[in-house]
Amino acid sequence: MNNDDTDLIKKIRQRDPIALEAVVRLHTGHLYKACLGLGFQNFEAEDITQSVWITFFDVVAQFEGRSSLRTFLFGILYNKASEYRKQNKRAESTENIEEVIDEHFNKHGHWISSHSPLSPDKFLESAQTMSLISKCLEFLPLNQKMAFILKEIDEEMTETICNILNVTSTNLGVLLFRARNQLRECIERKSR
Amino acid sequence: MLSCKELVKIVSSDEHLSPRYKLEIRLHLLMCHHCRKYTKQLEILKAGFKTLLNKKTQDADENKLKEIEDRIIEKISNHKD
Repeated sequence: MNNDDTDLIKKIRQRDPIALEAVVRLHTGHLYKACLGLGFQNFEAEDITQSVWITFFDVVAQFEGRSSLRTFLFGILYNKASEYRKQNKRAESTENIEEVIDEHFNKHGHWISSHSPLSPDKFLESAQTMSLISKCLEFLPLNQKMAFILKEIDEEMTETICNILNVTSTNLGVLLFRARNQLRECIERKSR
Repeated sequence: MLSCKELVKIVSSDEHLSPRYKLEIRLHLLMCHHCRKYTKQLEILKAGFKTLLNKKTQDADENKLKEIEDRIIEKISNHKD
C-alpha cells in the first residue's frame, strides 16, 4: 500500500469528513464505469456503487492494507455485483465452452477447416458492431466478465485480479479462457 | 511441437505470458495461418470491448459523476450518524 493510501485510511477511520469526500471523489468514477462495463444499467450502476461505499465505510476498520485501496474497493464491488445479479437473475450462457472448442479440432489437435477461425477482416466487421458485442457480453457469467474487464480494460496485474475475484491464478486463467472463447464463438456465429 | 488446440488454450488463458512457451508459440504462429487468425481475433475482441465500454461510459461525464458522488457523500454522512 502506498503512503497516500495509509494517510487517507487513517483519516477515514477518524471519520474526517474531508478525507471521506476525497476518497469518494477519487474512486467513484472508476467503480461506476466498471458497473456499466459489467452490463448494468445506469440506475443499477449507481445503486451498486453506493452500496460499495456503504460497505466500505462499515468495514474500513478491518482493512489491513495488504492490497491497495482500489483493489479492496473492487473486491467489494465484485461481491455487490454478484449479489445484485443473483437477486435479478438474468439468462447466462450454460453452454460448455470446452466442448464447443473441442469440436473445432481433429484428433491431432489441428483446426478442422470448416471450423477454422474466420478471416480477421470479417470478424472485425462484426466486432465493430457494438450491439453485437454488447449482446454477446450479456450472456457471460459475471466472474468471467469481471476478469475480462480487469485484464483487458484496466490491464491490472494478475495478482491484483486474483485478489479482487478471490481466485487462484490458475482459476483466473480458466475464467479468461472461457470469457475470450465464448465471446469469440458468439461473434463468429453471428457473422457467418 | 504445440498443436493448434494447445496454442488456443495457452493463448486464451494468458499462459503465453510465461517465457516457457514464447518460442514455441512464435514458431507455431509462423507456420499456422489458422492460429494467426485466432490470435488476431482475440486482439480485435479486446479492442472492440474497449470501444464498447468507452461508448457506454460516454454519458458518464464529469457533471453526472459529480452528482452521483454528491448523493453518495450525503448518504454516507447520514449513514454514519
